[in-house]
Amino acid sequence: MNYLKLSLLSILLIPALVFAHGPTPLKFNIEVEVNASPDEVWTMVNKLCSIKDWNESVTECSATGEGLGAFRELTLDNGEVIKEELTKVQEDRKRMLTTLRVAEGKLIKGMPIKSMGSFLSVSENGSGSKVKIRGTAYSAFEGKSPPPDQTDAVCKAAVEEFHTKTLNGMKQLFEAK
Amino acid sequence: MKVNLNKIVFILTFWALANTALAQNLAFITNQLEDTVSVIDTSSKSVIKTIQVGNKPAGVMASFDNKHIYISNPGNQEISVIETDSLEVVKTITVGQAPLALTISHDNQTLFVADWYMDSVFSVNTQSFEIKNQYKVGDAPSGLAISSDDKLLFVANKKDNSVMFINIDSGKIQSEIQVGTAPFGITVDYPKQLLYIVNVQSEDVTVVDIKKAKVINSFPVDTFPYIVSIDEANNHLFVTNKRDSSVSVVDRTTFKEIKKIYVGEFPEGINIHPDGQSVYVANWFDGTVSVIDTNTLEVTETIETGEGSRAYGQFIIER
Repeated sequence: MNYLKLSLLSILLIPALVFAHGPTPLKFNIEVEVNASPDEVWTMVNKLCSIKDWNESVTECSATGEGLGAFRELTLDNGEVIKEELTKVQEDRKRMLTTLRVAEGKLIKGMPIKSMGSFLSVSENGSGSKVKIRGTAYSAFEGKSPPPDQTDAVCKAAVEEFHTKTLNGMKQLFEAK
Repeated sequence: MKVNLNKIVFILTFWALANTALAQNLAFITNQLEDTVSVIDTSSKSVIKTIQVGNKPAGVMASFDNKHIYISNPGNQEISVIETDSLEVVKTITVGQAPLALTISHDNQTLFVADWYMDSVFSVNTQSFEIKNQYKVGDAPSGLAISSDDKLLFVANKKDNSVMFINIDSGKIQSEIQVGTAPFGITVDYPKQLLYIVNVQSEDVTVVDIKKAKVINSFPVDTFPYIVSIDEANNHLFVTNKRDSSVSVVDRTTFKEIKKIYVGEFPEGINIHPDGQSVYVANWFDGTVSVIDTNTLEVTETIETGEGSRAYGQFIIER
């Protein structure tokens, strides 16, 4: 949250034109060490709505289908609803890709993105696991002068905050066990 | 004294000839998240220089005479012109709102710049650096290429799911062809007179016959594909699959996949080396370049470049 505030503050201090953006993907890369075996973590994350148990921003989740092509609809604590599709599952590499596409003209409050592809991967790490979420997002605003609440910096901070909550929550869940 | 001078001239000439024989190939990799271009010497497989360019550099186009590299910077609406002899930016040109894909006429006189937000292609005189024409195209032009006779531009319109043939002289749209969903990279197969258009969302490649202006085939690739590079000698096509972190190797006649090669994370730009022995792939997420052997179809080297390596376009020259 401090990071978000800091980003917002910096936007107020620097003219908007500095943040003029183009068709540029935003990069995120977050990881955490978890006290559970890769198999255990992998089984859990394959239940798509289990995210509700550890990401504090997710208040509700409903899933349609299972495995590749399944959807989950997440209700966030600010009332916004986001829909993600499981577009890739690589069992051998313990890697899954969820893709989020926001309908044309719609804006997610607090996370003004147009689309996002997030890889979640689980790998061995000593007696536990390392869980990574990495990928790309595109901001919803198209044009060279986005309003201050829709800049690339705002999008990146929001996406990173969301994924950080997912991973930190997961870590805590396994530590409590 | 005179003899000595002749000797010097002789030695200098010999040295120059020897140097020509040992021509150097350089790859110019745009690093979109750090506003630089990494210059790779492809014989030593090492970065010999990092050049500061504009904001969010993405596209790259080498002139056919190997003298200049043009870089598109959608972040600050600029084209950076790099001289390949000095490896310096010698000029910047302001174009449009979000210049991305680039191509150049075979006489090197005209640079074409597709602008993502203005739904236009601009032509720029490479001597005076003045904008000559603005061609209206479809919604979100993402891919750009030119015919061998410099008469037609081929433009992929990402949001219209189409490819347009633009007559460069008249500015008219000569044909518009529906392709897959969200077309991005467009590559001309000059010997076969075909276009390969990569569709990001339908995850396939559309094959268009240029003379007939018709779709003649299509073939599937993997998640979030980006652009094709052609290996004429082995009759292969290489396609980057960004969100599979792989390259599909496809037979250029049957359009069947022969092999999938895992490279770095989120590969984007891809070029065959002029010597035909290797293919260079820029990995956006890792900030690296993977080198693939065109005979063994294995990754032989991974070169560290910079944050957000993209290299969208023609990026290898000989000097």
